[in-house]
Amino acid sequence: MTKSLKQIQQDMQAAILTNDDAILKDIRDTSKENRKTLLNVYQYAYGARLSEFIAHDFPKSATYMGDDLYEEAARGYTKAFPSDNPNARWFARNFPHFLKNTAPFKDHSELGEMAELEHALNKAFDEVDAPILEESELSSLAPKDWAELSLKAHPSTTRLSHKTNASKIWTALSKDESPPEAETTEMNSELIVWRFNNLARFRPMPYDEAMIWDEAAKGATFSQLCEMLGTYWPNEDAPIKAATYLKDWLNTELLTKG
Amino acid sequence: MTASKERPPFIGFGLGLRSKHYTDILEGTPPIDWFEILSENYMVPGGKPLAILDRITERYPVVMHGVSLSIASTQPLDMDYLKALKSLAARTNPKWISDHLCWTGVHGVNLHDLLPFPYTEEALDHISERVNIVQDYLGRPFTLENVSTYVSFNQSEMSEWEFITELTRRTGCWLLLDINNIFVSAFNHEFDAYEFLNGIPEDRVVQFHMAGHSDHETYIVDTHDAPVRDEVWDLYRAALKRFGPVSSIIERDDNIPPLEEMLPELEKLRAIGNEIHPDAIINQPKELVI
Repeated sequence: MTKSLKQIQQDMQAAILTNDDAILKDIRDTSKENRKTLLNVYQYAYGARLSEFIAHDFPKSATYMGDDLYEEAARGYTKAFPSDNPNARWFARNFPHFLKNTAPFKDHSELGEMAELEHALNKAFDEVDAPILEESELSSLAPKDWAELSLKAHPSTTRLSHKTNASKIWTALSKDESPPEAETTEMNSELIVWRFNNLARFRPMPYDEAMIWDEAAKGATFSQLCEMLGTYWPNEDAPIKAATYLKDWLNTELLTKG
Repeated sequence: MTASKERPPFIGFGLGLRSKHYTDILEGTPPIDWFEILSENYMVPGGKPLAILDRITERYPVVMHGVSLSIASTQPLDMDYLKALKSLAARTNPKWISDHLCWTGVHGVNLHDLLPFPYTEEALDHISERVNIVQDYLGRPFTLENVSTYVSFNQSEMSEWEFITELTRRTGCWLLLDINNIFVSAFNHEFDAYEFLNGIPEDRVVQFHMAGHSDHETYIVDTHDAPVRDEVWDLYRAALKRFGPVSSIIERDDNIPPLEEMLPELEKLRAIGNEIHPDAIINQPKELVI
């Protein structure tokens, strides 16, 4: 009985994913080459192409790992997370998770954290557009409205809290400089990643700013943010500090209209 | 069947749009008639890719070219993908939408490759039905491209060109002939590239692709990483003679040179087109800012 199109596709896919050779009996030799070599064009291309996709999305992670470790990671990831999306843009989305949870990569926390940073940068690059909250839109607020003001993070933003100096390693690599030795830092590095002027970027956040940013994201009002800053600053300085942070968030397109 | 009856216009000589060339395109006035955009690159929520695309489509006609429709797959059509494709088309108003005559995966897996299948009546029935669904859904001229293949199947009952001819006859879909892919597959499967060309109906071809390849002596791989080879230029001339003035682009996906280094190859594409069809008029409904 002739093999169905469905069966041929199943066998061809198995040949590509697992080197199963059931499809070989359906393929022709040519006068110049045998079928196994010709099938291998697809088998080789699959691994190479998906490895390229990951390196495209995680370029500094790939550079930092070096060729051998990166290829091991790419092979492992491709096997653990076969692509389930027609758009290659989303294929490597679980790469940070893979590095954080799979030996030997999980033993080097900076790998997962650097990939997490690159993932957030990728998200910032093409996340959905949303209207930017402008400073002028708050200037007319009455004092009582300020107290109840709640803020909304732009969809492109991601907050990260890292235990290692991964962001410093990333920065050095992006400047073609030698990266510092990986280390676990005494206190977490608080980072914000977002899109500004259509460019993906990140910066460290002081602890007090990170605290009120996270609370604002959970729905805290401006007066509550001021109270929280009172734990870091004298009470009379807290509102000024809060206003300073807010002004910076507005000026750098971190907020969207509620 | 609601395939577009009116033949899409001849829009001249263009390039595949690549991010490396964004600045030179938007800040200069390169002599490029139109761009083919890779649909999936812009099927993203927002940000810079779509902002740039909007600026490009303000100035140039575009055609959308996808890699993930998987028209030959035996798994159900991905309606979420089609919905996103249609939404992008509403944004860019492409002259036509194209994808490849291939499959990319089954069982929910995407292999991100343009995979071959046997040319059988079963495949013809299956793909024709899906082409009709896609054309109906998209409501725009729909075009399929021949791919480079490295294996052929014992089950095939007809040649690739016979299959394509019957598919376009049944569905009314338009054809994008990748001239390099014809050359590559002809070498790999030992058929005559000119017999392929002469087997395709004269009135269904609306676009040509031209690209480079890698020669592995016993087989050729379609790598899009090098200039077009002389033998492929010869085939392009023959294709122009058979199919008339056909909108054409140079495709480059790897080892992409700066725009200024791609322009001479584009000019060669245009010069050959003008030499063979000196009276062809480029249809540019959009006023180009040049």
